[in-house]
Amino acid sequence: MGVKAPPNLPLFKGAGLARSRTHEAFGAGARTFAAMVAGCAGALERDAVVWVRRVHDRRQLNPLGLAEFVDPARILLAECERPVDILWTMEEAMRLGSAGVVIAELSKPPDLKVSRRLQLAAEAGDAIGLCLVDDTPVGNAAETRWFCAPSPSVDDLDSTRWRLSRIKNKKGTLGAWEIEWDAEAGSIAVVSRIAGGPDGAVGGVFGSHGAVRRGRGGEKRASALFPE
Amino acid sequence: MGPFAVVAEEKNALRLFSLNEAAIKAGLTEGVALTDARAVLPILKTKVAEPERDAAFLAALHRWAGRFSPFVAKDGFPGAPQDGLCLDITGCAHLFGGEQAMLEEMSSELARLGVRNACAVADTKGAAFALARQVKSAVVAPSGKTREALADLPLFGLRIDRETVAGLNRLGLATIGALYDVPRASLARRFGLTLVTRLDQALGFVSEPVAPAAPVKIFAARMTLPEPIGLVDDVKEALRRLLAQLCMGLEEAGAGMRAVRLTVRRTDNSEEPVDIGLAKPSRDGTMILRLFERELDALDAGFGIEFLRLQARGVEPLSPRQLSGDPSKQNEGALDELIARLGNRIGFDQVKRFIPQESHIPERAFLRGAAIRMRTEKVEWARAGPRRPLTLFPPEPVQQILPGRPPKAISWRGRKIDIAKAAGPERIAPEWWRKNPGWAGKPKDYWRVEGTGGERLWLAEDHEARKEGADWKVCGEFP
Repeated sequence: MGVKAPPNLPLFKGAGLARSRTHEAFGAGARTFAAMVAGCAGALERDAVVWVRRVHDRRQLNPLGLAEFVDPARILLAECERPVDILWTMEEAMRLGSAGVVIAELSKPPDLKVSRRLQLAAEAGDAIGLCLVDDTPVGNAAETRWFCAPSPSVDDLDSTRWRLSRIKNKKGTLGAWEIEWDAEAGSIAVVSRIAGGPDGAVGGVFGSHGAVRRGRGGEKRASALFPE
Repeated sequence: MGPFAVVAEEKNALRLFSLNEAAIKAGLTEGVALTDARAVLPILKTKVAEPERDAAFLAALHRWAGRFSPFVAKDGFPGAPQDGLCLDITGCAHLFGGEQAMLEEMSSELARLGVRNACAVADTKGAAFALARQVKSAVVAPSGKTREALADLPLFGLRIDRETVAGLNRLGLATIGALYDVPRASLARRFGLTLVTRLDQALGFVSEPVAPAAPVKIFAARMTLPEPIGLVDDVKEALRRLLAQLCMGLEEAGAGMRAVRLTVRRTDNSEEPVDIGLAKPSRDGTMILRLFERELDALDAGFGIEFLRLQARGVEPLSPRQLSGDPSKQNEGALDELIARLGNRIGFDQVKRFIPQESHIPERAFLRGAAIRMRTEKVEWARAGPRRPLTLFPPEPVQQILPGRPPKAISWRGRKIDIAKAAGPERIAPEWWRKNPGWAGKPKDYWRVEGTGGERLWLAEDHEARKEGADWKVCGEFP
């Protein structure tokens, strides 16, 4: 008997974030991706977003920049001294389930044990967890992993174009998209699909980013991505 | 009991603040420096004064005094900590069998509680004050005889400052009675109106009502157990009952608490407090019990807990709220619980919300304020104006590889970035009415640039730093 898959938070056509699961994003645009997810979370019945970060992080989160994606009033900011407090806060915020999305900025990607714990908390509170990691991800219990790389704008400097790749997906396909934020609609718009999608065909889109190949857990997956 | 004194620091020296009978008999008085007192009486035992605990004790006495009269006020010398109570017993004395009987009951009951006391009844507040502080026993000044009762008392009972007392003493006026015959105009001219007013108040020529303050109500519940308990579930059950009792009391008073302290006493008489803060005034027992869960797990029961006390702290009015079907309101309550839970571990000041500020300086256009101190009304974020980066950091100087305005290629964080597109400048001037660190009082030009790889950066051109060659800085990253 199969377990019924939890409903998704739709991001754009062909991709979403599974609820009651933790996800992971890395790359230069990880924060932007998180802001977009927070914007999409307005559709949830629990639209509050908890954003956990280090208190001494020089990289300030600017609410005026955030306002393009999500109403900053919906964001509850938790600033922690120690990395372990970030994990605790994320776990507790997800477990309580009063926020729809919990975003945590971690310096180090959570290992298998930590991420499994976060995963259980997400299930307990039916929340979506999103870890933003600086470092190369390792093999862990994250449901999906997204890599967000900068992409040049075509005509207008105002664009928010990023190259988004889903490089791990436990229950579905991988893929890569050129996306932009549609401020009017409050959702992500796909400019073009580079690879992947329902048919599961994946092209070599990570050639310029060595990050994927270095990962311990990602090794097998990455080699599958680059048919030699 | 041997001689004992409480000492407090005054005029850069530890001085005797309060003495017991034995110390007074040995010849010590209040205000003597501790070193001198030690020389006189080497066996003197001392303790440092704790004004906060004195005040708390006076507050407890305040509540106790409510059984004699509904009008109770704290009282003391002007400019000194309050050290007494003042009761308006008009219409109350006959309930205790007359003024004398009432005073005796008051005095003996205080003595039974171990409080050395001096009480007095008089026609006016000023007269009662002077009598109580100088006649160290229970005394009733007969009605209409205030003038005679005060005549022999020293002057400081009039609640006047020390300089005035010293000045009057120099003139040979040592008692209150001596002032009766001095022409009032000359007294007022020489020592100010306060002296005359105080005298008139004591003698009843000028009215001085007792300004009663309602005693601070303490919301607490306690439980003494016949047998010590040690299991988490047992403690939780005890806490649940205490919380129900406490919250009912709060509900009757229309109040909520911002924090709650659980004190447990173990069989070996050691106590341990457990504090829980709340995001908003609340009296929701089930929610508070959930917040306690984690703390209870960490609680060390030792050989067993035999006494629990729960006290509400930071009690504020909380009106009953209509249950609404609006889901956003229900979500608000859930968020409060989240804020409380996070705040109890990482600190309530670290759970924040963004607050918009009226400023065009990028790093000053918002604040991060503690969420518990924010009012719940919606804040509006204006979306007009030029775009702002998603990430701001302290300006990082960049090296120009191909100069220009803006540069055609820069080296930033060890990477070479060829700039393909640029928009700007947006000139931002510092706010002249305050100091802006990093601005040097001059405007800066901001450029939005995009590298060929798609990096969208916010460059600031700092004209002031041109000489050092550090005039271009990266201030943020656009989404």
